[in-house]
Amino acid sequence: MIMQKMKKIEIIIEGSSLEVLKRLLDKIDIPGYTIFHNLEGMGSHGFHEGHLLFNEEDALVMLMSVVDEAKANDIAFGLEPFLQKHSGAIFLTDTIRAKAKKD
Amino acid sequence: MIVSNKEILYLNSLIENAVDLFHNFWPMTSFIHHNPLHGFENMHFEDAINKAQNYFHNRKFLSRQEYQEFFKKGKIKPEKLQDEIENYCQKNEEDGVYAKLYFYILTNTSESVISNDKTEDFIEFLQEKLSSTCAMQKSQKLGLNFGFCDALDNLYDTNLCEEINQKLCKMSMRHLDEGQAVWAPPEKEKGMYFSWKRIIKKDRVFFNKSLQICRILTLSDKPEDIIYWVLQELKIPKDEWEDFFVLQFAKLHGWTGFLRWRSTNQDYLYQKKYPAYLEEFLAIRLYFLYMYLKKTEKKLGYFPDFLRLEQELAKKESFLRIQYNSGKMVPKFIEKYEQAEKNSSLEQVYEEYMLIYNETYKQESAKFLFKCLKGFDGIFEDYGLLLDRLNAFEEQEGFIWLKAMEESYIEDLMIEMLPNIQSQRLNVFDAQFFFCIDVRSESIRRHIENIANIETFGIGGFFGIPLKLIDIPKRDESNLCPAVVKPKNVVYKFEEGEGKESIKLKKALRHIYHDLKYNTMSAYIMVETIGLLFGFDFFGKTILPNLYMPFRKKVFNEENSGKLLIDKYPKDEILERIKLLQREIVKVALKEKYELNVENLDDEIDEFLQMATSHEDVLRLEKGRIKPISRLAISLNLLHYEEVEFLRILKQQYQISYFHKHRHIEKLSKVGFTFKEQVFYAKNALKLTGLTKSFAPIVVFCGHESKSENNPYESALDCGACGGKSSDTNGRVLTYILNKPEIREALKPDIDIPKNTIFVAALHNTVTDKIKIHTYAIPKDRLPEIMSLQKKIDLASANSALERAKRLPLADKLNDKKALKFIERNLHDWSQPRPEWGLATNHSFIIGPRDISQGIKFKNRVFLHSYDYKKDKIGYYLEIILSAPLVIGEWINMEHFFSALDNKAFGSESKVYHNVVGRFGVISGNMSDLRTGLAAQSVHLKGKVYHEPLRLMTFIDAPFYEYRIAIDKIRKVSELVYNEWVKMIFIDRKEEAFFYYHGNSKRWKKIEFCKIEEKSL
Repeated sequence: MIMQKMKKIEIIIEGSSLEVLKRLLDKIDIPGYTIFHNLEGMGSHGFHEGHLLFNEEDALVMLMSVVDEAKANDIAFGLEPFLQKHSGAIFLTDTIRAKAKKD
Repeated sequence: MIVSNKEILYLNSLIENAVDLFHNFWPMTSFIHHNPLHGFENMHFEDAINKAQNYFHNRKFLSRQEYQEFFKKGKIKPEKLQDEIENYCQKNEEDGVYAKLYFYILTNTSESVISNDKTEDFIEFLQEKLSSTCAMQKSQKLGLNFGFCDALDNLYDTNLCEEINQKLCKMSMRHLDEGQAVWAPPEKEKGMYFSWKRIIKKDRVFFNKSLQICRILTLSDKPEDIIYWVLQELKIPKDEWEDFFVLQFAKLHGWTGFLRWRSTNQDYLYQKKYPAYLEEFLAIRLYFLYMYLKKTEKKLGYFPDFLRLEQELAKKESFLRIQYNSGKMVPKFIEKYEQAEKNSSLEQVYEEYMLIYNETYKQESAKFLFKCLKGFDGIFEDYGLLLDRLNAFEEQEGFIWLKAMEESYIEDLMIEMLPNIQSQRLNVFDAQFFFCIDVRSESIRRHIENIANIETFGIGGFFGIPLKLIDIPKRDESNLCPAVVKPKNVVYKFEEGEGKESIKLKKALRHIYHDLKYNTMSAYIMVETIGLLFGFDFFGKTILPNLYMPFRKKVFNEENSGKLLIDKYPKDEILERIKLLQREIVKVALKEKYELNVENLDDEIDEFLQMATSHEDVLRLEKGRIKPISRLAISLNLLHYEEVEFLRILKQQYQISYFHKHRHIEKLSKVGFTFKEQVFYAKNALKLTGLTKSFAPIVVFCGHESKSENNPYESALDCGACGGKSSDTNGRVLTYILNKPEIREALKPDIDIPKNTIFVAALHNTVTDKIKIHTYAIPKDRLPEIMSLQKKIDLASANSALERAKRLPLADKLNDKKALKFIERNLHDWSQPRPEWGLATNHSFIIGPRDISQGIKFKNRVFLHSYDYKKDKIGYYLEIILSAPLVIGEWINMEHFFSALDNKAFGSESKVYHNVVGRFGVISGNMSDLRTGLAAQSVHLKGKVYHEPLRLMTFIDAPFYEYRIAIDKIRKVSELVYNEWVKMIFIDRKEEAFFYYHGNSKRWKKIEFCKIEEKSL
């Protein structure tokens, strides 16, 4: 196993912004991410119900990715104007990626 | 110069913020009604409408004359208008005499100033009183409503805005075309920016290698590089970037809306094939902006960057220039201005002009005051203050009228519904019908209930089943659900039993249709080219549509219901199907590459396929090896290197690989619904409407669609809850599911469906109001019941059609027989711009059991969603109704509101001038911004507003204190309610009161039933 110090980045946004976010991350070659749908919670924009059966645009989603520190900073600062105007938040945490050695 | 990743994200974040103010535009084949001010919904309605004016240059409300007409017709009650005026005065701390004056002004319809000696004296007197009043000189700064091009156009009488817009329109029409244009730009598949670069580099006027911007264009493929460079060159302060982008997009908000939609719908076929993004569009616009500014530099003697332009605008002479070029200059000064302009002495004449300007202002103000005060009994001491207050009131007047009109309607609706609310209705029914909540269902439901013992329900037309329909014969793919959902299940539709001849004829005719509808030359050459065949269709549709169309229908077999694939494929069947498909592909590849006809080698092919689709590289080229490894190659006498080469070809050219196999598996696994999903959706559909017991022997799910000819807006008349498509399929899917005994078993004990209950699908044509019950899946022994039901429904259809026909121009004066013929003709008449009124005049949304609305003639103005709070203890189903059907209802309502209010800014004006562009939208004339919104024929009549712009008045039948939390729990809904995009009223039978969210006081107001009863007396 190779242990690598990385940054875990968690971005919570409204479902209507998900496609935009995915595309922006593609633009700077983020290699992969995981998406969690139908999140529920309370924030400065009010309560977000999680089980909106027929409305995915107004439910919250979280996109999680593990990247190096430089990319994490690019994302956090680059998305700042977007998050100033839209519901959502970014969390950065130190993490270690355990990568299996391949022959 | 290369922008960093951080800057790329930063610029794109600003772009996304900027385009948030412009609504998505869906292709017109699936017209989605939307709120043109969707991006402003986080603001209060009134603030939003004020702010939007900066970008759309729209009028904010109807004119006084238009509201006065409603007032005369009794649609605005005097006491409601009085209330709103008093609220205004209270808020602005103005005393009673002002309230009296405002009411007098609003309701006074007598003609304006008639000049005589007395009036002249009074005007002079007022002028003296206004001696200290001065006209406000608006400072023109670059900002929200005044961009670079606007400033230059106004200062120097250039036409930059228009010229840049034309460049962008031309480029967008070219790149976004979906098969209509004869010529396609080069390397379109590499994206809009790349393809445009290929063209612009050959443009001698707009490409000059000596300019830095052109060198960047050559060296970089990133549009952000151009954007960033132009921002720097124009010296735009960083905190102004976003507003600067907004102004650029606002110039062509139609194209912006379409690109915005495409960039978030990566699965859209044409976006996949020919990508196009907003940053590319912006970069191209900024490139042209820079090049045009560079051109004006020579004329002006300076390069007009942001700072320099601000300095220029601050000069006194600029005020004069803007007055002159925008046509606002006091006429008597024009000659002097022109002389001063010639002599370059504008600054010297400024003071002189300001004197005239102020004098004119005073005269106009005095006339304005005179007009307001004429005939009014009241005395004012400070006429300067009066003028200020009257000006301020005029700004607010539209909103006061609107609120008074809505209050009047709300009170009338309360009065109408109250007797129903206070009585309970229990019955056993012969049949039950589910209709879409669409306002057009209202009359047909009423007429059905009038003639037979039938109960009706309202539900979103997708019947709670979001699905993607892949129509194999039509090669069409559409999402049949509200636009806020992405369906996870796919349903395939096949055509059954069709002869070869019929297919040939269909193909030929469809080809003709394509040419006729989309080729711009068609009007000149089509008749000669296709001769009699076309002529026959042309004359048939125009002269004798009623006789010709049934024949044409037979040829096109438009009523063929097709077979739907609803159940999920088992995994092994999916694998088997993929294997069969790939086996056939291998045979084709062998034939094409080696001219080998392969028969009886299925096992060998299967083994080879396993190698091709394996995750590991099983078949590698071994140096020095001649003998092949695979059994297929051995049988076909291929050498080792040939089998390896064939494997490569299969992977690269025929998509036979590990990756593609798994994509096929994933795609096919989405086809159909699992048993669990079927139970889930069936339960939801029934519980949403409150039908869980007392099922009638026949339950009909009635989808709807609209049929018309030569109408690019046809889908705007289809089901809004189905993404602008027919909701027929959703009804068919739900009936199929609910007729399964195992599903009914799984729904117990919550939902108990008797054995003798049969679910059937039907289709409601909203042009003719005819309903056709589908009989193909009905057991023979039940057919007589269905036939008898169909007869009753036919009668109700005719009654409803007549009621609606009377509202159509030309049909209103016809007798019943002729009126019915008239609407039948609308179905096929391709010269008819208004086949039906569609959703025009919609104004309310009622969520509750049918009891509260049954029997009331709502004149197709109300969305009706069935709901029974007693069967929804925690408000779960109410939340679902609010989060999707209500949101869609608001989109529809606001689309009509703004299209009616200002058809030029938000609608698309007359259909007469429309041209279909790229097969996805319409433009006016031969080049314009993409026209979004509804055509004038959908909301106006004879030049006047037909659809009364009113915000959606929503009634929920549920106890207020227990169920209001449903609003607060969904952010979007609370935004719509508290920012007053919809008016929300609870009908609380426990408290015997209405609870109404009152925007003026920002509180919920309780209105007891007894008070409404008093009003009704």
